[in-house]
Amino acid sequence: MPTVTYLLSDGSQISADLPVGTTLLAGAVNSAVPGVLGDCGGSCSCATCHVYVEERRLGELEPPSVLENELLDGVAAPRRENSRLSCQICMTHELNGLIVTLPDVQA
Amino acid sequence: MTESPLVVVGASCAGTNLALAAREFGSQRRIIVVGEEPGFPYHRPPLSKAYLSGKADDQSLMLRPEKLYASQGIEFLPETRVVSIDRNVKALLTSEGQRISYGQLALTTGCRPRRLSLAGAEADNVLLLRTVAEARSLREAAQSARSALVIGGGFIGLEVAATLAQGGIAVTVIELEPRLLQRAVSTLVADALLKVHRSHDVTFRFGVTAAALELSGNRVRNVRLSDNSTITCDLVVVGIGTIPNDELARDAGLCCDNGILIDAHGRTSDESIVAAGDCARQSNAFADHQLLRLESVQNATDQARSAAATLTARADTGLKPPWFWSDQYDVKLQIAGIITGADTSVVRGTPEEGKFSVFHFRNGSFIGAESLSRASDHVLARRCLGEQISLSPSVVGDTSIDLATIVRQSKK
Repeated sequence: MPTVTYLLSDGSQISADLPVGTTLLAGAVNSAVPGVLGDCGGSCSCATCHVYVEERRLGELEPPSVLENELLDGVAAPRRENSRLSCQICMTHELNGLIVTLPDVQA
Repeated sequence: MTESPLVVVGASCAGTNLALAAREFGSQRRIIVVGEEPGFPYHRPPLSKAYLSGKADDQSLMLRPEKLYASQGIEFLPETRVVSIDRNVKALLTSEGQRISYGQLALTTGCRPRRLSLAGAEADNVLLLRTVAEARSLREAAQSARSALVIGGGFIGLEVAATLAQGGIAVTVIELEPRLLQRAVSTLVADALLKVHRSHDVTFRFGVTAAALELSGNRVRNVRLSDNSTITCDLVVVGIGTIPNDELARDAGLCCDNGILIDAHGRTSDESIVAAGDCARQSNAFADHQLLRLESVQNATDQARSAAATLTARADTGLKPPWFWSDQYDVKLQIAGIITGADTSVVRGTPEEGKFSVFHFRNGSFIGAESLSRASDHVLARRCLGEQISLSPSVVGDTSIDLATIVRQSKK
């Protein structure tokens, strides 16, 4: 099963095995990763599952939809080039080993 | 873990978040979540949408995986109904006669849909939507239905109407008020949603109510309306509001008034008991401190965390602006703040294209915004409310001004 590593704002990290097809949000919530809220349950409504994706692998992801792009405008932490909503990133075999960094604030 | 347990009554979104947050905030107590439904807590929002259409299954509804509860030391008692609270000895009594002692008690009992008070309201094809069991019944009924009558043009009614219409069912919605979502959204937003529904061939009848149900066996065949017209349908869906499940609290002598009254930190009138979510009513700082009972995921989650902070003697998690969303077809409606009582409203965007927001002001202050397929307006409006960033009618009415920049600059 592919693995994702969540780097927390306090410097610690949590790695989780994610079944292919599950989202990075589900992976975080299911492993009790603090710092990801996902208040809307992953329906791309709330912008509280913001993550920074490691730059070198950004190109491996499907680009954000119009809706995700709009929601990213309002995330509580600074929006950067590598900002994404974790509810919109689905795990694949190819993404194995992906590292995402959590912002220090979500809402 | 020598302290007596924290017992959470209601295995809901609020109950689950409260239990998890209490643990996250350092509670060392045994935590027991008691719920009436079978199984583990689930997401309710998809029930009227992806679950009803068959795109989501039971597994994908789960709020958290079972193993997480075990790892956090949170126990569940499913299919258990609490019938009374004995506050003197701090114990609950279940319908099976079981006694459960508590040190701290959290009430997250939710609300229930109002039923039609008409003969025949219990017929096999008259359905409500609150629980996954009800969603399952509705999904099954929809498979063989060719026509449906939705009673009530509120959020549940409209989301169900959208899902059924997309499934090829001829849907009629009746609404007693002269327009949709009378108490929830502005006329402009209601009209835009009406237009989308009509473009999907949903029929609307305003100013009428169901007067009588005509049965054939255990099924309703015709519904007679208050104007004496009749609608024939295979299926009736009732979405005419909710009633808070506050009887348990009221019977125990807690202060209730259309919901369990809680203070700014989730406390009821008994210091060992907190409440959160759809069952609770609270003075709302975003609505001139009116007492409001809000039914939303945001409210359930934030009140749950606030109550958990209270139970663990942590500083409260801070004031969060209310927000809400509803997905109908490919339209996403998002509301930030409490928009009732506005004296000035400004449109941003293009209503003709169905992509716009309405920003609302009262006494010159920004109080909230409704956004239709303009998600960035929504999140920025939410942040302005939460971070007390002021907005003026002239700024929001000018789409050449980037709201993200305004928010960023005010943060400096």
